[in-house]
Amino acid sequence: MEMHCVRYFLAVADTLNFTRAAERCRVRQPSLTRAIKKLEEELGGELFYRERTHTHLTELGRSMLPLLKQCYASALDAEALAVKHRRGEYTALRLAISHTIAMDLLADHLKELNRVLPKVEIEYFRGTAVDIIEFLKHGEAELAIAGPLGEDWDRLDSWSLFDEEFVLAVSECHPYATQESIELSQLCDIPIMIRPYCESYSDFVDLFDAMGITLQQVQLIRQDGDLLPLIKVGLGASLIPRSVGTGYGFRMIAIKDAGLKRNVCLYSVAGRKRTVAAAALTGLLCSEN
Amino acid sequence: MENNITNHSSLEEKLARNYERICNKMPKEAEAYRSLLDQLKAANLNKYAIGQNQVMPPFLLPDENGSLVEMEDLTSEGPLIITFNNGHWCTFCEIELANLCEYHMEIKAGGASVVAISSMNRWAARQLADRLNLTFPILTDVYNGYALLLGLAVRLAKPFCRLSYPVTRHENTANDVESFIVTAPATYIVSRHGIVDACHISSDFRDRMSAEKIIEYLKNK
Repeated sequence: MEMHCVRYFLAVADTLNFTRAAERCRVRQPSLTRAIKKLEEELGGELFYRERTHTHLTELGRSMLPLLKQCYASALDAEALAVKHRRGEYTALRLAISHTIAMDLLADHLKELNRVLPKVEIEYFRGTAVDIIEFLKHGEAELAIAGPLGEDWDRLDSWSLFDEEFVLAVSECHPYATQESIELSQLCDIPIMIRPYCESYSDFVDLFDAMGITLQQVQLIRQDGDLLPLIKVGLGASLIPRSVGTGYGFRMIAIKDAGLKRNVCLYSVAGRKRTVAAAALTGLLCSEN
Repeated sequence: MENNITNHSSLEEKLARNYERICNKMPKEAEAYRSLLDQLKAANLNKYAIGQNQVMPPFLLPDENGSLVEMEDLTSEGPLIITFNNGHWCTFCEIELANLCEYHMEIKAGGASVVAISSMNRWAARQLADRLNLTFPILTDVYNGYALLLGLAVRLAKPFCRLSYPVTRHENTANDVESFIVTAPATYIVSRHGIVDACHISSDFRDRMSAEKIIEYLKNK
């Protein structure tokens, strides 16, 4: 596959109009049409139903779209990295991280990035799902790491990093501390600390409502940095992603059959030029998945 | 028979015997490999991919230990041999990697270094490196982006993708998957100036550049 053919395909898939796609790609329409035809020959079938006013993707086109989107975005990163950069040259990275992502998950990668790009300047932002989207939309952050953002913005590119379950974090002397797992309904019986800044918070509220679970003695927390010491001294328990509590020295109890999970992703904005630092960090993070 | 493939056979013989073994014992895999032949031919790689005398786009990719490896660091020491490889699911690629590893010391003695580039994640890369006792790194090309930049990315369609599914990243279940993007098998010899001195892009997965040929090339250079 040639990179420009994939770029033209993505433009037609987005605009569903060959003329507008050619304008966007700044090529003449016959060139774009030829490139699409070539890609179709290679992929073994038509990618679009060409109708006068209703160009739309064929089944093959639909199945190839997410694959080619990811491959093309990754090729843009490779292209950014293919520009010869000298060690010691200044580069910048603006990275938004959800309140629910422990920095431990990123520390080794950031150290490696710094080894290769010793003059990289990194600015970190923290926020909720809503904040993260705003950081990306307004260009304040180039990359973001978070759980599900619940946003249907078509320019949002996401790269799955890992899945993890939510567990009940309790102190060593908590009544549930000796149990391997508990039922979700058992949360009614203990003091709970709530994390409204969590991307999955509203899903949990909906789930509790649906199951008729009413939490008792609720404490409202604003950041994990405040939450973890309070759990440790036994002031309450909380539903947290497993990675948040790892290495903190309290018990993490599995929740039976509730399916409380999240998918942590790396996010960026499609079509924006990437810095060397962003492209390199993307490679490091995604190579683990 | 796999155990008939002795270390003394040439790479060509080992690849041919592997194909024979698959055809005789694994009809589904054989069918899939035959369809791969058609797909590689349709991709017309030798016409469009980066080739001899062209500038090799520099890479900065993570290895199986999570360290970033820069092409220029390797070419500054001498020629660089790059094998684009799917050894995590393709037995032909695995045989090629083992052949390179067997002759790695000789290649190094010729002043060259070796890397493999694959879309496998670094855990799969580490497993493969351990299994084959590889002495050179396997770099992860996330979602085949570097391969697309070079013109080496190809579509792998049914029935082949079902065989490669367990080790290829995809969110859906194997039966739902109609296609994958993979990197075509290829070997590049890149000069210390970053120019492609020689390359071998396989439109037939049984046809690879052997380590012996690489050594011969390095000697005559």
